[in-house]
Amino acid sequence: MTFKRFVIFLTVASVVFASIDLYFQFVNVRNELNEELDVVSTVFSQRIEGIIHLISIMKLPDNVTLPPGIKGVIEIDNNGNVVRSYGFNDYTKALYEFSVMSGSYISPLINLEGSPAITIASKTPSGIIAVEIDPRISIPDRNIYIVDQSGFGINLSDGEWKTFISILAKNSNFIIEWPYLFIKDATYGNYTLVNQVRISSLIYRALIASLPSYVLIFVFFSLTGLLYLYLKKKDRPIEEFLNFLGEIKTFSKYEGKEDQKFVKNYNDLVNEWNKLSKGYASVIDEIGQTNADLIKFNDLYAELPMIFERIDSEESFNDAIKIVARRILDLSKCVKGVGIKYGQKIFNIGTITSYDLQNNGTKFNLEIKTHSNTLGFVLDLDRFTTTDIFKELLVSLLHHIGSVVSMHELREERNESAMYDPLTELLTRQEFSNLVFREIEILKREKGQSAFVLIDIKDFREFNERYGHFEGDVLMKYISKVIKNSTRITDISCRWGEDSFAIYFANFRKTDMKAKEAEILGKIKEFKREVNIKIGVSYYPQDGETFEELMKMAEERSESENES
Amino acid sequence: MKKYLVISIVIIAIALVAMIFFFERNRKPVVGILFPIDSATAYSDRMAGALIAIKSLPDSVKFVDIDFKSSDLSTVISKSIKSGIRYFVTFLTSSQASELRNVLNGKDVILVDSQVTNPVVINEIKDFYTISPTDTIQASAIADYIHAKNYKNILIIKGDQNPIYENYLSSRIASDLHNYGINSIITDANQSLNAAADCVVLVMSSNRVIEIMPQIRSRYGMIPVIGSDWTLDQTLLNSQLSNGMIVTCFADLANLSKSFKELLYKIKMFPDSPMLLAYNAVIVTFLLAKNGVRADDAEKFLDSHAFLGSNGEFTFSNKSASSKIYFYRISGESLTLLGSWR
Repeated sequence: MTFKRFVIFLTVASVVFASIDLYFQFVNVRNELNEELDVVSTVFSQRIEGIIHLISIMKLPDNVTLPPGIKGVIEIDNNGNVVRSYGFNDYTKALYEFSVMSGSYISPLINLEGSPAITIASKTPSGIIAVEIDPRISIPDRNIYIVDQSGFGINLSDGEWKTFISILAKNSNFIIEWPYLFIKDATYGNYTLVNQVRISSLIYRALIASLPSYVLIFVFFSLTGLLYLYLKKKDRPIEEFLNFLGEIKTFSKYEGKEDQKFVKNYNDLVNEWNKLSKGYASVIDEIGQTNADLIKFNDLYAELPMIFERIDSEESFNDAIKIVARRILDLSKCVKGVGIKYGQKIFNIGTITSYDLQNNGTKFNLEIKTHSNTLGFVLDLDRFTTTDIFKELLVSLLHHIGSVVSMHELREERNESAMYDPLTELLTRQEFSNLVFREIEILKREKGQSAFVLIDIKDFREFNERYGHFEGDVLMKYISKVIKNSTRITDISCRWGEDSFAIYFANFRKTDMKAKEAEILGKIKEFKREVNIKIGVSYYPQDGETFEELMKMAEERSESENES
Repeated sequence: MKKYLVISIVIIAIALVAMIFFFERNRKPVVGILFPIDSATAYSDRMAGALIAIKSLPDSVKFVDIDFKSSDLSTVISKSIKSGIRYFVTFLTSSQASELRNVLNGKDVILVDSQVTNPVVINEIKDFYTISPTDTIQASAIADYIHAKNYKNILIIKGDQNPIYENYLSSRIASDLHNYGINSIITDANQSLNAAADCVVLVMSSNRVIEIMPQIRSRYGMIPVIGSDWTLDQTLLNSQLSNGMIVTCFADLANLSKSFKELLYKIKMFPDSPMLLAYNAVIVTFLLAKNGVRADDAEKFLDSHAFLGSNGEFTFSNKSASSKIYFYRISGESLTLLGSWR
């Protein structure tokens, strides 16, 4: 039974008990009033009987002094004639007839100038003696009427007249005529005593009488309640725990009162679990995001070599850097802007401006040393959505970009090394052949003329043996310097063989060649050591129209000069 | 908890409606019995008659006692009408009844009286009915009786306590005697008795009769004295002065039922006309109330029914009961029936 039901049960039980008690108290009060009426009736009856007895044995003297309460007295002989009368007003036929028949007579109420009176007559040996008396009895604080057989009544206390026909007509002794309760009791001589009581005062008296019971009910109620609470308190944890378990449907926070420790512990556990779940979900999200980032990073890792592989000009390099910047921006939403500085070149996209690249602000920046330059990155990263992992991945990517750029630089550098002879820094024979071959084609179209010069160091092996290889290398470098100084920017020269050089003079006339030849030979002779040089010259188109023919002619003429 | 509260309120509401419906349906019609409390014991015979009647009736009509003083009759009746009472039993004089003209007319109430006899008063109050024969009938009866006895000079002495009754009845008797060619003179009770007469008719109360009888005997000797209905009560029976006097009565006191007599014996009372008429008035009012007769239908209801009263069956005609007029001679302390007239 829950506390609420228990309280309802106690309340209903108390109300029922109180109602029953009130009813019984009401009956008690009513019975008390009835007993009061009985007492009054007894007093009235004894008084009347006493008077009857008195007058039945008395002989009326000649002079009578009426005692208090006696209004008149009369003596009647056996023939109905009045013998003596003192203050007696209401001698009736009924008085005589009924006294003769019954031995005594009590009249209905008589109104003697406003005062009530009744006649009491009794048969005596000499005749009939009757007295008129005031029927009233002093009963303070009571509303009791003495009512005669016709229904007229007089209040015993205040002498108020009142009719009670409808009350006398009822068989019951307790009659409710709102707002009064009438209690009637037949008394001596066809008279009826009627107690007129206000029902409200009756209920009030019953309530007052019930007061101890109400106090008892209250005490019982309180003690029972306290006992109940005590017992409930003992069983409360188990009961509440069982109720609590019954109410739990999922592993979620209990929304009821946390007045028990197990409820608090349970809720703490749920809170801890919720925190872990959120953390776990967050980690899972982070991993998922990282995986997505990694995929994008991998894509970019794979793309980077391809982007830089196809670079064949400075413009395409710039495009590659722009593509890289764009791809970095597309990696994640947290990247709002990307700036790349390569040497003096600046590339910026998104929220990064040229100012950001030139000044070290608060934005993320990284400077990477490449093979032959410096690659600077400035990135505008959202500080709320950028994770540490992303940052690490990004740094790794940027370093990788630096590596790719370094490789590009190396490749460029390597390509340049293949065109020139490392010692003389002149074109290699192959490169010279390619360039001159194109030049000849151009000459053919323009119908121009040009000259081929082949310079060969005679006895170069002996020179090395004599002066050492280092000195031989110095000689080679010296001759190449002479060639560079003696040729125009449009002329092409190369190291033709181990100890030979070739020069192509574009749009060069035969007549000018002797002077040039002498100039070159003269400068070579100025070398600190004695050097023997062979020179062969061929002319286009006189000596041939193909490169091979012209070079063969120049070689032959070089050899012939040696022989000569 | 809230659910229980709502259910409780609904149950209580239903119970209240059922109780109201039950009590409204079973509410009994109420009849008020008016008695002049300041005249108390003079009405004990009427009250006894009413009490006997109520005790003999079933419990389907509620009777309530309404006390009034002569000075506040109109006020008491007005209050009673306002409280919902529509049927009344009264024991008024004609003069008192006349005062109710303005109170009763226009109201849906029925008033049945046991002793008003003046036809003018009866007719001027719309829903006023009387158990007694009217003064017109009584006057005819007295005139017939005098004519039958061949008296020639009649002195009619009227009292001064109930002028409407006394004036009307005395003048009606004189008129009816005149129709028979009999001389009559009307005089007031307080005037000297100078007129010659071979018969005296008294229209007054019994108290006045006791007062005036010595003068009559002194002036006229033992000539016949005929008293109207109002003169007859216990006072006359207890007095030697009234011995030999002839009185009219609206009830046959000798032919009462045995049970009625036994009841009276128990309460040590003798029957008289007002008692029996009071009994009849209660019986008639009970039937009106029980049948829920409205004021507009009352006359039709009364005219179309026969009622069993203390003296047997009686009917209504012209708002008054059609009963016989009985002539009694007072012989010592008893009455001797001389005959009846209808």
